[in-house]
Amino acid sequence: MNITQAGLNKKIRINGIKLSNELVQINLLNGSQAQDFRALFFRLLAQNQINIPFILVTGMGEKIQGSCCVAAEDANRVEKLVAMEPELRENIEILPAVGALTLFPHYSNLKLLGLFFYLLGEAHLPLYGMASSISSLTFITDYPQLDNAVSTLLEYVDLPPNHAPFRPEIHVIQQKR
Amino acid sequence: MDTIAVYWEPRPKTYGFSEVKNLSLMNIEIKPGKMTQWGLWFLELTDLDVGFHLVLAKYSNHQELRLYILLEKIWADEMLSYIGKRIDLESGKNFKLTSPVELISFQGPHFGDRYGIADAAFKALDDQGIPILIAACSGTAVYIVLPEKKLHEARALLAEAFSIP
Repeated sequence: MNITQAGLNKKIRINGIKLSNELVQINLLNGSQAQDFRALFFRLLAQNQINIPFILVTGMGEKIQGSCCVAAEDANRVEKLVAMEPELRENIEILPAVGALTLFPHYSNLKLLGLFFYLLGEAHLPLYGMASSISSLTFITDYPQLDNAVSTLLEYVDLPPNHAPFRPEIHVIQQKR
Repeated sequence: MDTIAVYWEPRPKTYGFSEVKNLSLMNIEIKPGKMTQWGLWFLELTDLDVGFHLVLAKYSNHQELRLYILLEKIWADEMLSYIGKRIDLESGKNFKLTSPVELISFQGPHFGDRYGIADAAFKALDDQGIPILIAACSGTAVYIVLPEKKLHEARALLAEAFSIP
């Protein structure tokens, strides 16, 4: 079966593609007491005012219980915080240089998901995580490959005439005074 | 040039909670090298007009990508019928269905840009022993999938942690 036989005879109309700045992915491995360990990690980052723009958690006994992304500029701070907590230190792995590609809208159907899975597989691009939000689908892949992923994608999707894939120019940071 | 905006609230605001019961959670193993095949199958499935509430994919260990699809039970039956013709559902290794499950989701101003949102949500539930099946925070929204009959209690706890204007 090829992509045309699978029902994709014309480009999919979407409203936008957004790319993140460089991120690092942190995988939380299952320790002996999974829940306490996850809670400790999120509490530490909150106490130190580190934003986590993308989070996946599963509580179904998997070896990797959670994955999340933080801005690359926050990576050193996270590593230092983790290093101070022996239980965390042993149960964390960090993937450098990942990025998020967000497509919208998904219309709650599997078409965009199917297309992107197909394209990632064909292009041998890694997928480190993915989640839907209200109207968007966000995929985590290698940061240096984001532009390649977009080029591949644009062969199969139509954007509005006045829209191009964009990176956020305004960076919002919350700080407690 | 930096522009600094000051915004602080003792309890994060949300725009309200959305709750859905009687859902099915599909959990599919995507084996290495099978991403293309699954992509084609999902494209084919769009003919069925299957609508999801949440999709999430993450590695469960270092080799195994797991895709979770949360959908109405009626669509789960349709998908099962379709997928069952293509993979071995009986072994239970590469496919799991948890049903019924419940979903609570909420969003708030700049949730994706602010620290502490996930901590506040997970703490509210963890402290009272509410199990989380899966959760995702992406964009400005938080999605938490719960076992059956946990939604009411979870909502009350989250409503203490977050304020609704």
